[in-house]
Amino acid sequence: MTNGVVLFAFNNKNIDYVKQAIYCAKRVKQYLNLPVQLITDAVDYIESAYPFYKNYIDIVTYVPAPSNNATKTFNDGLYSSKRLEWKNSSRNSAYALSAFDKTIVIDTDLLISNNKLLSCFDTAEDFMIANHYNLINQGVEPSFDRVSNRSISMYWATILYFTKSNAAKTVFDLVSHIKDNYNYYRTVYDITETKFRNDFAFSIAVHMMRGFENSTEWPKQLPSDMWVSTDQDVLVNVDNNVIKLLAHKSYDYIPVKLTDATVHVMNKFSLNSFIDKEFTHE
Amino acid sequence: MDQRLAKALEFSNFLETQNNQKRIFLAQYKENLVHYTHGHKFTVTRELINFCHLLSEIQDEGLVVLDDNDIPFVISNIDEFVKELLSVYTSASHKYATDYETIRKNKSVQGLVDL
Repeated sequence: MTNGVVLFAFNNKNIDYVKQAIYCAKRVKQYLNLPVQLITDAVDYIESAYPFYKNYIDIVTYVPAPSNNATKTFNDGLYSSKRLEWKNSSRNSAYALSAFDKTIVIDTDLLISNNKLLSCFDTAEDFMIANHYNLINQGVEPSFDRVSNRSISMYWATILYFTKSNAAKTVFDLVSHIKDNYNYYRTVYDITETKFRNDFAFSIAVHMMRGFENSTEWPKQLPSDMWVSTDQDVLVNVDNNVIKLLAHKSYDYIPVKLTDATVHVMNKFSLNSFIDKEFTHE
Repeated sequence: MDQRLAKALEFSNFLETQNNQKRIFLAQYKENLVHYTHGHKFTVTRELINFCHLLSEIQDEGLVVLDDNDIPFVISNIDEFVKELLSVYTSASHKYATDYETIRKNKSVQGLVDL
């Protein structure tokens, strides 16, 4: 049986997800010591721009970038934002593309600082997805608890775990079906946002597969913490397991320090700036 | 700026940062108390430790406890299991105490987060 981590990276004109993936893989090696597979359309780019990537990424798998023409506003803290392409709709292919028997899929902007996710491999579960989360600054965000105010519980495709099994295959097949018929499902589930989101598709799939109920029986809670820093926050520095950020409040920031925490850094600009500094040592 | 106002705002920022760090430390403490073993999830509490310790004194094999998901866990080695629970509890508590000490010792925003 092989265990490993799968990452997806499709660059747009401003955000280098491949660079993020290499840094993410570096931390996977440091804290989980697992093989890493990168699924990307930028095979030539990674070879030429980051020749050291082989220290951290074991397998590179080419797939064409998703062509759903979605755009999204990416904030860089409180005072700057850009409208950019968002090529995020390939997550449903993780089951088919994973080179491992037991797979953890994580977003490239997830900073792992502990080994809690290793407990996934000891469970008897075939599919788990992140549900529990903490905000780095509580009280200023709209809640991420539900896909919309009057709808179902939100699950985060930021961290997924699955085994090569019928149950997991059924989940991913259902997500593909939801993706193909997204306008119908987003209407049924009262999702106002029109662009496809993996989080929403997996949340709908989970709700359908557990009998259209809000049960907590399945899927089981993923054995990991997840601290969420939105794109209105700013990543200041990462020193091994110590992560420092500026968390936004109404018109200002407060400083935050996290140790040994798994942190989802949504501000891609400040994350990329930090990684640029970090990679000067490579 | 009026110095009286500046001092009050500085204190307000400090208190906000301190309260947020306290919240983070407590949430991390609770998450660190979760123990995964043999595919089961246990939130380690003083009650669970005492209960398992008591069980170990009564009998040493065929012991069953329910995990956080109400799934039965057949304990093959109760002494080892109690040791694991104690280790998780002391490690989480120690980290919480160390983290909290930074709040007790530092009376400025810079001291709290080293920024």
